[in-house]
Amino acid sequence: MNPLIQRYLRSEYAQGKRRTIFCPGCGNGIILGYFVRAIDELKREGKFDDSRLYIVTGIGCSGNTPIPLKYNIVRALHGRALSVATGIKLVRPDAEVVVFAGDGDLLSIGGNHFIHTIRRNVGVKVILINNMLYGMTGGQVAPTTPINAITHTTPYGNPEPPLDACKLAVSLGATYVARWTVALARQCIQSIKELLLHKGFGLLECLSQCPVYQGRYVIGVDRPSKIMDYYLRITEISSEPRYGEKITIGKFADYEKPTYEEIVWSMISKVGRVMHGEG
Amino acid sequence: MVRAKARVVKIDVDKYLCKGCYICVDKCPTKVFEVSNVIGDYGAFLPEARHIEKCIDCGICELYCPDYAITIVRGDGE
Repeated sequence: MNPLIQRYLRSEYAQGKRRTIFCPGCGNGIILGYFVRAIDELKREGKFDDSRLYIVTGIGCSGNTPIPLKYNIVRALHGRALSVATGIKLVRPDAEVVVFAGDGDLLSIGGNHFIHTIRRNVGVKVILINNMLYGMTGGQVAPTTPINAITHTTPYGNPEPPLDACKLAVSLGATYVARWTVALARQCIQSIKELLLHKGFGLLECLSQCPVYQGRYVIGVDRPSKIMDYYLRITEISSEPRYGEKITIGKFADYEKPTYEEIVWSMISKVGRVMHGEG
Repeated sequence: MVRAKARVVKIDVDKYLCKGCYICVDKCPTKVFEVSNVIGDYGAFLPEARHIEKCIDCGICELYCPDYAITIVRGDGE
């Protein structure tokens, strides 16, 4: 077992007695490796304290991603990961809250929570693992499935145009938005580091592979390395999000504005002072 | 003056953790790995670093491994 990763895993996983539950070649394990490496680099630079790190996940394969880690982990209801994360962030404003969610979890069932969390600018960090369909339940069509793609529920091609999470987030005024693929290791690690040091709402969309369903149905190859090559072929660097024939990757937004927990806590202290003065 | 770089002596693949996705076999830029005849605990043929002298120490196999089975063992080139 890799000694760098081993220091961040909990009991049975760290002893090497239990594997992650993913299929062979799944992108979730790769992204978890990048996350651990980003935390390790930030800790070595002295910029990050991982004792106040809380992780909230949704339901689905991507919800199983941070389970081997030794941090505080909450498994929320389907699509409601951002609501639970908002609650944690409001009660403990100095905590660092990271949300792992999949595309079906965050954009389809939790789409409403996604929009309103960005609108409030709550300081939670979202790592969206996009594998273009519902992987855990057998490869059904998701909001991010490309048009004309064959899945389990659309055997003659997908009639719906896909949803671009990054474009939605940028248009709603999210303060950090980036999209990379799992095949670009250094860029992903750098982006996770920037995300963890960012103040307001941050979204990192990571195009990941699901060799069993996405590979066989949507793309047509089931070898994980071939899917990574396919992602490098269909993506291009740009500063404007697009999700169609070509998917643009890169950093789309990075600025700061007042966060929801700052506004709420300044309001609480102001109201408390007024009440105290009157009473 | 050329600085002595730490050389890769061995690339260790964990027999229990490896699930046989062969990302390391396909993604290695100098083709260090080959699929061996040894069957691991998951039931897949294990990859083996057979051409270790070709390794350029890029670390891509360690970064890409989804099950954290690969460890690059570096030693001082004597």
